[in-house]
Amino acid sequence: LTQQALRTLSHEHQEVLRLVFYEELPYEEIAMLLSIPTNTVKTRVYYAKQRLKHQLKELGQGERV
Amino acid sequence: MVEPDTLDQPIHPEGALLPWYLNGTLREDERRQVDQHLSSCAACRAELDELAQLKVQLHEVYGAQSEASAQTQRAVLAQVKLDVSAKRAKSVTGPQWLNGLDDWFQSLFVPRWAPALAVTLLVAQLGLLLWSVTRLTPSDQVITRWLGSPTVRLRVVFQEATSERQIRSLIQGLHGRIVDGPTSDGAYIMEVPAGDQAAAQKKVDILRSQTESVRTVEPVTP
Repeated sequence: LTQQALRTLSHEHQEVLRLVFYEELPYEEIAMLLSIPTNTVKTRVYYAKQRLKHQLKELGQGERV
Repeated sequence: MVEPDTLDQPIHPEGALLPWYLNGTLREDERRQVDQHLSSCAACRAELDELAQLKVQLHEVYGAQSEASAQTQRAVLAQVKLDVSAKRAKSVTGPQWLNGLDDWFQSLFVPRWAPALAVTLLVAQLGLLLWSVTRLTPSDQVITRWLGSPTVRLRVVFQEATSERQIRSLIQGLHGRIVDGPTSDGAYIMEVPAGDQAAAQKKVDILRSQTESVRTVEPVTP
């Protein structure tokens, strides 16, 4: 289910989620890797997480129906 | 996709640091700041719980993907290794005829050839030996005698004027050989084949008849 929900996210969102939660990199490093400001990293991760949570909820409801 | 630099959600600035608070990469001062905030903010504690749950789920997904990609990588590497060794075996540098020669030479070492080659060599060697033996002329032959071969020993004194060639001719005529001598009085011990006493006497008579070359002949008694 998580994998399915992840696939619906944009490449950028999938990327930051992987870098933070799987690779466990500091935000400064992610900012450097992606050549974006640190604040953008923080907000991108926040929105990616929100989006994933939303998708998981939708997929979960779809399965229950 | 472009995210705004500031969050438009009712989230605290410390809330934006929660993912890194979770993965333990915040600076000490940031971590303390988040700790302090969490102690008084239920919303951020709930958010942290969600993030922790998400982290577990993402680890499952990415962990499985990594294993799959590692397996693929191993399989690809193994295939590449095979291809490279196969290519290396084929692409021997040098001209075509040299490769052919090399292939032929290597084929000699294929096990099924080895016994056949060994037998062929043995037969060839045996043939060569037999051929060289049968080709020996009588003059080349070395007269050999073995134990039990009936011979008689004669004490022969040659004339002073007898040449070496005459002596040799005499010895060859009797199929004999010099086995000892010359002694202090110039005698040689000659061994000649003789089946019995009569044959021995015949040899003695022959030698004695050669008065030009032979002075005395006496059978040696053992």
